[in-house]
Amino acid sequence: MRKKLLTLLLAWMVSMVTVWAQTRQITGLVSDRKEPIIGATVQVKGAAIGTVTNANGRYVLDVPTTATAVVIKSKGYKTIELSIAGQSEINAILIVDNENLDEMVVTAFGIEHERKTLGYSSQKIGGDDLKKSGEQNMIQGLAGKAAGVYVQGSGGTPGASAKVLLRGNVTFTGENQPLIVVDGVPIDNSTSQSVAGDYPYNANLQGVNSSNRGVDINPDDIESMNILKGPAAAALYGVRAGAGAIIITTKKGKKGAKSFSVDLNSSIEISQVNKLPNLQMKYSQGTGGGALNADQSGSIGAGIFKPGTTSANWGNLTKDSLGITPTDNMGNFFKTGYAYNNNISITNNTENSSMRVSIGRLTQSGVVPNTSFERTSARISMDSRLSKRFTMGGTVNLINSGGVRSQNGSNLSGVMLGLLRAPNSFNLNDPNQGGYKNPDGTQRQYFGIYDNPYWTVYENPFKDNVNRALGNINFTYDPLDWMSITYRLGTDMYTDQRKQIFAIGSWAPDNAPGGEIDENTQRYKEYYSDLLVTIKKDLSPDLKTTLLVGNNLNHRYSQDLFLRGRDLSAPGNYNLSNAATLYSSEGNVTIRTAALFADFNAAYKNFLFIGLTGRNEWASTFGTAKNNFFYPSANISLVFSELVKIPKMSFGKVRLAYAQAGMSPDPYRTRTYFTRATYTDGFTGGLSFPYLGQNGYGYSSLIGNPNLRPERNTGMEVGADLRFFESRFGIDFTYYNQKSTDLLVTRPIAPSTGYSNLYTNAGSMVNKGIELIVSGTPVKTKDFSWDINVNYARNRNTVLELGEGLKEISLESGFTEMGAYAIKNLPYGVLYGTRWDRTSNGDLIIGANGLPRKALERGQIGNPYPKWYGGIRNTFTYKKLSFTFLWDVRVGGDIWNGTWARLNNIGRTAESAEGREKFYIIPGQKVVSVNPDGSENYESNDIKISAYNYYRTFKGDGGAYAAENAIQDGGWVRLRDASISYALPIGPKASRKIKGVTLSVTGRNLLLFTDYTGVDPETSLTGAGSNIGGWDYFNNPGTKSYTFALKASF
Amino acid sequence: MKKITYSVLALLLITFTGCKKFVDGYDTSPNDPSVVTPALLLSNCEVAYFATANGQLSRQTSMMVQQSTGVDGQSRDANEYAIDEGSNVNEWSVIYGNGLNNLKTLYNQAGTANPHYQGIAKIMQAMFLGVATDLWGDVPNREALNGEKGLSPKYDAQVDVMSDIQKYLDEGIALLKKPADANKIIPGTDDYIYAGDVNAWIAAAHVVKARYYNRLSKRDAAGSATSALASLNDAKLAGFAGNENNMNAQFGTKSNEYNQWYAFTVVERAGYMKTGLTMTNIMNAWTDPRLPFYCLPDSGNTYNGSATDAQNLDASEVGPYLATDAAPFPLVTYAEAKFIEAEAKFRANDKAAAATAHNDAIIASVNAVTGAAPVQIFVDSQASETAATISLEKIMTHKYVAMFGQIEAYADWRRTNIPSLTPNANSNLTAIPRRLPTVLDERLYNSNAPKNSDLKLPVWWDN
Repeated sequence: MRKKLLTLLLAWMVSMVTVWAQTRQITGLVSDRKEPIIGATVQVKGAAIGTVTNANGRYVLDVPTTATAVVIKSKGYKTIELSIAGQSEINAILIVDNENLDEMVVTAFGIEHERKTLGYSSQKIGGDDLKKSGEQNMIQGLAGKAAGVYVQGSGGTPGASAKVLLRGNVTFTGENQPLIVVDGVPIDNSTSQSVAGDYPYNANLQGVNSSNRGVDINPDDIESMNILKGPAAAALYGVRAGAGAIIITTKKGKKGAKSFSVDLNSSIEISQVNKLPNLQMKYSQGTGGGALNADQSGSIGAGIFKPGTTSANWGNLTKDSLGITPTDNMGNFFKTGYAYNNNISITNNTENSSMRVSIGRLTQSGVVPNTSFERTSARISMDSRLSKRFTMGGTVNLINSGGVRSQNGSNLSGVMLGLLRAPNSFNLNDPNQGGYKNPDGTQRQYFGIYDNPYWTVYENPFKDNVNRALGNINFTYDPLDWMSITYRLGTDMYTDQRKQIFAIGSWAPDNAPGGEIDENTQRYKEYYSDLLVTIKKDLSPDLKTTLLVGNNLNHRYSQDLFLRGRDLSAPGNYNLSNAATLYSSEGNVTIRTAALFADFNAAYKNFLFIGLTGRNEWASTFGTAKNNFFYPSANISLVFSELVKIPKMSFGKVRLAYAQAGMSPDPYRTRTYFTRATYTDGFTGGLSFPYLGQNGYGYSSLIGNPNLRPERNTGMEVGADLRFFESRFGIDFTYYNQKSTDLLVTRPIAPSTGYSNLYTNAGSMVNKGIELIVSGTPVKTKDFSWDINVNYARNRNTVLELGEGLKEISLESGFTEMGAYAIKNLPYGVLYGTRWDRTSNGDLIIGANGLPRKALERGQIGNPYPKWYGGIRNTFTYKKLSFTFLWDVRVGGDIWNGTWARLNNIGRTAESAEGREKFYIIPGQKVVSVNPDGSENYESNDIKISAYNYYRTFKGDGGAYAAENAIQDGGWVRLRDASISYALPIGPKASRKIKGVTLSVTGRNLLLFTDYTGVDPETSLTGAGSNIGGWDYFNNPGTKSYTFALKASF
Repeated sequence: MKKITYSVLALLLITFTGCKKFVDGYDTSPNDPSVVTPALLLSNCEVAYFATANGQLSRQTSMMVQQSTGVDGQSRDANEYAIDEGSNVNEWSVIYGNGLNNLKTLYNQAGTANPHYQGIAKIMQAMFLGVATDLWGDVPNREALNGEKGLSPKYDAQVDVMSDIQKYLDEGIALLKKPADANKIIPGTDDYIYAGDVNAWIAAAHVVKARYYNRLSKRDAAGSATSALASLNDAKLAGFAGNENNMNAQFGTKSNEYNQWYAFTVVERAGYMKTGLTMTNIMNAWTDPRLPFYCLPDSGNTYNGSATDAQNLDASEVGPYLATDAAPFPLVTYAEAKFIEAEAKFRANDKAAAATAHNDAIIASVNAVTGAAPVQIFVDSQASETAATISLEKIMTHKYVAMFGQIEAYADWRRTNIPSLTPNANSNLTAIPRRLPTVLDERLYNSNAPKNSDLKLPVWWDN
């Protein structure tokens, strides 16, 4: 009805106009082939006569009879000019312009700059591109899409965290992930485990696959993500900019043209596990198998069946000797996951205001039974011009998310730990024996300490429920034509309630045979205030300047409340009041920062652009000695193609930037506190307070430091942006050299000092690299186009300094034999652990027992970061049919496959069964004699060893093994996404009601090529909450999926 | 226009001064205290010692002397002497960081106004150092515990550490002898061990002195015997007269209070460790009444541990003496005192006294373990030695059995080579380790740390 009225009104106005002038009327539809474009400008060439398209993408324009052509423009599309000679229906199809030279880029503080003026590298990813990934987590959705954006997923369970690094690691202990800013206000993207205050280990090694909080943002609300990769781009964010920033702009309405539209977006995703290790189906649980024959002609394959008493699978032949049908527990366990995603958004625009309301709902079930993730997001954004000089607007986004999580990793309840170790002679879910429970209701286990994974998923759920509100209000007052004042107040607040249940009779977490309930509440609250004053002055017609000065105040508070109840009384009642032993812990953090900053930009003619920024910042986390620091940046852009015309080159720019950004120290590190210790050796829960009715406190192992300074990331980058053949071929190249100094080191010190760590500004590290983006349109005809976009990045990180006398520090406590370290002159995060002893030629030294000798000291055994990585996207468009696919390549990047080593040790891998009847001679040099000076004489090894020793120690993690044996190449080539979409034809009639319908099918991770022997190598035991990567110890597997989607606009 | 410009400038000025104020006062942690009481420190230090004496070091050393056998998981690796510089970082850190450093803090914080807290701190300091030097040989002491002011503490020669231990014990005893009214506050329930009974501490401290004098038997056979016996006499005079004076680690029934042998062998790592066949063979030969307390019956309903190099999953589990949730764990006992006396008297060639002490020690041990006096037939065969029949072999073998689970047993074996042990044949190492290697965090971060990675290298008193 409304639209009919509008049409009538328009028709009436048009008829009025025709009376007055020598004009004729033209009309038409402006679309992008799939959908009508609302608000496109249609202007008579060479005259100030024009209109904009309505909500149906249609326009009506009275043109002077002398007019010959119209120019049609819309933001984000290439401008076209069409002849109108002799025609009254002029339809236009606009082409998306990803490389628009006049494209506005949203940079720090929401300041918009024309891309060509920027002297630093930034890369924009459109909301549509993000959605093509098929990912529900916007961070994971970035994988493979931009140069220098390194994404590390943690597994395929619903809501599992993903980590993003821009270029490389810039800090040892601080936040290496970029600041995420939504509509000018930072949001929390942390990943946290639920862990009691008395938990003594690295919580990242166990627990469930938690989410990074960025998962709360509905990708359907995202208009674009602009990635500010280095300090040059992000310096204006000061102490939070050290790792770069991702600036997200959400979808909003547009003031200026009346329009009303409804968009629907529905999809179903079907997902499955994409890769699992190979397990054996031949030998049973037991011991004694794989022993060397007396005549050393081979190994005895079969041993003795020992149900229930050992974790080993060196037993008898399951089927042939024991008559037990082997069970493929791993194959039986995983299921198909489904995700339903529905979004509706309503946009209403008028001349002076705009409004967009959206609701999105995602329900996802995982490949691990009884796991899920749900997200409901409601969002409203409004923008209104109250007078010529005053506008105001705001956004509110309410989100509820959460689900049932999957136990992961080094965890007696870890799904993969209990599942992969399960003998084939034991059916974890035997219907003849009551499934995963014994007749009396207790847990059915194949070995004492490992929880049956079915028991885990059905009896021990971990649920989380996040309620989050984020948004902002903003006012802009333009007192003078050249001055504008903006105030913006934003907030992000959430409460994350988590509950973990361990039923009576469970083994995890650490000894809860009496059952356990954990109630964890994590609260977060951020207030963010910006006052920006912008002054624009044209000093001469050729020299235009802009100065922005601003003030920023930031208050962040977080609380982690943990309540634990053990020794449950009534079975099945999971309330804390049912627990006999209670424990609680509480952690609170408040951080405040305040800053003054300025941003100056000057443009000379149309080719030289200069930007300068400075920020002085105060923070409560800085040392008491000095609590404010200054961060500068400068960048210059020269569009040389404006000065010299180079044949075939349509655009050419070189850029140079230099900047310093910061990184805050951790809170409360300026003095040494007392803590309640937990005494454990890693094998038991240990002793902790309150103990026998008394409390106890001792010095924290960390020495505080009153002289803390922020870390600095000083970056230089040069780049070029070149376009050829009318911009059909483009190259964007960047070289950067970023040095992080004053790095805060939780410096390990010898325990004999009485402490274990000293927090101090002692380290430095450098990241050097190149980023290359090549885009081209090899074929382009009226109906068909082929676009290629290639991105490539390599980063070389080197740790330069760790502190006086330090050569290496552990970054996060790991496994007994292996950890992640920062080592002088090596890349950050290298894997460091036990190694084999080698001769000067690098041959293994074989001991008298035929096994390699383990070196006395540990060393570097791998580097988890890739040599280079990139993505290649091909897009084919034929009329309304579009086919696009993205190859994601990662070369290098080691993973410690602790899963494989353990499975070899206990005889579960397929290889340990295939090779069980052989003997082995490990290539190397055996020790023949020892010289008086201690040096040894060697000869080629010929000592035969049993299959058992070979797999237990040489290929496994038993006996005197070396962790280096489990380092594998985690590189890959994968078809990250492939998608076919078809826009249903919209006739002029149909367009009145339905503006566009698009159907698409997307496949994610359909192909994966890798040498890695475990699960999908896109995995990380420690998740996004950790600064390290490259560990796989019974990590949950990754997934592949198919998504069927329908998109309609009304 | 000017008005607007000025008001903007004024606003910026206000924010400039406001910036500092805005962040002030948010730098102190609301989570952890900056000041604590001596009672809280003492409780912490005692639990740290319980963890040291009853945790991983206790299990590991008992495998070295074959009182127990690791048959699965990481225990099996340790049982094959796969012990490297990373294996015991945690235990070392507990000794120095949680134990010694907080004892130093306790001593300083209690001050001269509270000599009883200071005295207990000194005695415990000696005990922690004793464990460290027994296992690692030369260890930091005189330059240790200075935090950022001394990042590379010198390693003191073991001979000096041993004399420091004696000195700290003497100082502790002297402080505890001060009257109660010379203290502003006195220890009470925060002292899990003796509940603030300073006389009990004094008596036990003399036994600890005897233990470390006797440790030097290989270095100074006669002198060590004389000193040990003098200290034992002091202990006796101070009232150390029976099992009721034993110093025990206390445990409870809540999971964070469990005896760690129980936590390990029953609850969390069941199946990793069994009792050792070497020890059960000895005890079976004696028809030892402690067997049902040390071991659970095996699958054949006998008490047989696993041979060191066998993966005998059916062998006897560790029994309720150690593996009970709240079972107290001996730290200094009357039986130990009597065994030291027997050994020292034997060295001093007083065979009759040695035999008497030996017999007393066995009876005390059986009483402590089983809660009852041994049956006469056992007394007749094992605890009725005379000057004519007593031998070092008998004394040390009995002490080996009596000290089941205590780190002391490993020191005794290294000193005396009794009982005779065969190294695990599955190991690349051809001998039973005689020390722990310098821990990783010391090698990496202390420039003065020796690089002792050879497990066969004996400590000073073992030479």
